Amino acid sequence: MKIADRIAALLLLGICVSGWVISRTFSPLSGLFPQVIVLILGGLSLLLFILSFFRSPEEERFVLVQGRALPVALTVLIMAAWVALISVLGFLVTSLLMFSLMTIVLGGKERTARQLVLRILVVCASTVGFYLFFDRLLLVSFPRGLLL
Amino acid sequence: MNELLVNSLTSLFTATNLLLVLLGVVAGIVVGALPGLTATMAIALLVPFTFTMQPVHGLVLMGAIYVAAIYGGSFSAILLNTPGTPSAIATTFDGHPMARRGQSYLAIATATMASVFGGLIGVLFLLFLSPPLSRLSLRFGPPEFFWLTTFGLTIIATLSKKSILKGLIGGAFGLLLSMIGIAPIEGSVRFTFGSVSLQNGIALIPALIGFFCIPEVLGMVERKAEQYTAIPYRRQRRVLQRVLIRIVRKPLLMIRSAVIGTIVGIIPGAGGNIAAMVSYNEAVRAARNPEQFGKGSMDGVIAAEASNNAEVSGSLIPLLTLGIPGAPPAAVLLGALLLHGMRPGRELFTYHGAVTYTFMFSLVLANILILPVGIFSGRWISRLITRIPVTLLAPLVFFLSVIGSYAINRNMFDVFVMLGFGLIGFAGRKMKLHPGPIVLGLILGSICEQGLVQSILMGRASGSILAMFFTRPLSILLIVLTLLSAAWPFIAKTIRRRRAGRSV
Repeated sequence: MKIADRIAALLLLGICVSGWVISRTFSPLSGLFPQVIVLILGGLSLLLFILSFFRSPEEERFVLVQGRALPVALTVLIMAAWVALISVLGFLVTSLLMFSLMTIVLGGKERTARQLVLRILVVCASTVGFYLFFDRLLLVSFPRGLLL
Repeated sequence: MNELLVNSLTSLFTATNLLLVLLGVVAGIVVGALPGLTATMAIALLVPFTFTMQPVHGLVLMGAIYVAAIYGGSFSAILLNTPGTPSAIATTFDGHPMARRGQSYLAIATATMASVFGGLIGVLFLLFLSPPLSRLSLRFGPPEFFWLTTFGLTIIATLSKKSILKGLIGGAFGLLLSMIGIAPIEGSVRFTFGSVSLQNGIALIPALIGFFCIPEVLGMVERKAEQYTAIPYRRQRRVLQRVLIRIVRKPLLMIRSAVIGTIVGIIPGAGGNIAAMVSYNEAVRAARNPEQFGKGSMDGVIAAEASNNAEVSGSLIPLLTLGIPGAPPAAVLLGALLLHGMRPGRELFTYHGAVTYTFMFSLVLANILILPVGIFSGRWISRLITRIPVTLLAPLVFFLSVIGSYAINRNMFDVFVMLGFGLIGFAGRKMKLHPGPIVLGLILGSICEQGLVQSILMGRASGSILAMFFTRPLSILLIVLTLLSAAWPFIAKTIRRRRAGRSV
């Protein structure tokens, strides 16, 4: 995990430097705590960076389970699209689409047409069920977009 | 006081509360038994369902889920050798070997009885320790709160066994996140980058959902190739009596495990997994035949399960009295309490006394209900854990995460926060930077900052800032605890080296 540690340490150091610069614009008492924490975090990140050069190469690496990188990446993409599209298409339509898409993508090739139809039905029932529960019973008005 | 207790008991035995406890126990066992779903995740996802409920109903339901989910983890630990929740890791050591030699029902019955007794001992501590501690909290001023949170944060380091450095980094990062928004003193707008949505700071519940649910969803997707095969589970006669006799014959094992669980629970940041591991180690050390452990010893299952269920109530003691959660699920409960306008501390035991005591009594009932529900629904649960497909479970949890993070403030920004922290949490886990320390930092940050800045102001007014921090009796006690906790990894290392030196 040497490289991952190094990247994380550098990222955190970047956050600390910007945090320090920004915190100098705060009033004295509002800036005190952020500056203390930024210094501590910066020191710890620097230590992580230095230690990453002394660790043995056999140590665990930042890896996903073999052969699962693509499904994980696709899931992240679907999640991002799901959240981004809610305001455009509306909560119900986006959730129905993305829930079904995620189920299909994760299912891979290992299912029959019957299983697929069954799962889509479960997806529709649970999406509409939860939507109605929150919308009608708990009166949480979900975003409505171009569709619903 | 007596009137308050009677009213609380009467309130608990209403049809709604009884139904909610039963529902919570069933749901909690199912969630806990499913590998990948944790108690923290279950409670985090439940919060939005409870915010239109009366506070007492919401808390009773969440408490029952918390208790039952920790117990439910033992099912998959025993039948699949995969802990359903992190708290059940130590249960796999002896529970699964028992199941492999055809004693799956005996192992489940042992875990059930141990969880019930351990949980009940933990609740007794909660009931008797919380009121005096809440009175003590009245003596806590800003310096004490500052030192208490500092103590909590040093615990993070000692508990991050894999990497103390990464534990500390996580805690400090959480503290930095807690500073986003308007400063508590002098009111500067900090780290919002012009965003109005960030002015109120990071919303706790969406952040918790993100940190605890999204990494689990992605973890499920990643592990999907694993096919779980459960060891068959059949009910047998006279097993419950056998377990009961074992527990009665070895009361010290049960009491010691439950006390360890409660104490570990009280320590901020420590969770059920640590409680169970410590208790298991102590059981091995105290055993006459330690070589039996790891090969299917009932005592191993008792030690692990009594401890992790006692830890539930232990984690609620600092939460209810001081507002400092003892474990991640308790952190989510803190969010729920605040959502219902209930601030932890003395007020919770006076002004909100009826709700608080009903909640604590409901934990007694939930622990008792675990016995019939766990025993009679065991076969059904053992089938369920191998049949629910990840392809359905992962999207469902994400869907509920979206609903949960949106519904509280009805704000899409919170959904983005949830997803962002979820991805940070997943990347962090891969780098052994677990979300626990970050979340603890996020929660303790504002308490710590307020304590620090108010103490400085008080010190200036009284003429000595140093005296304000270092001379108050409670502060001195907390400073000693903080120093001990910070130095503990080094002390423990030295002790281990000396022992190893002696044995050579």
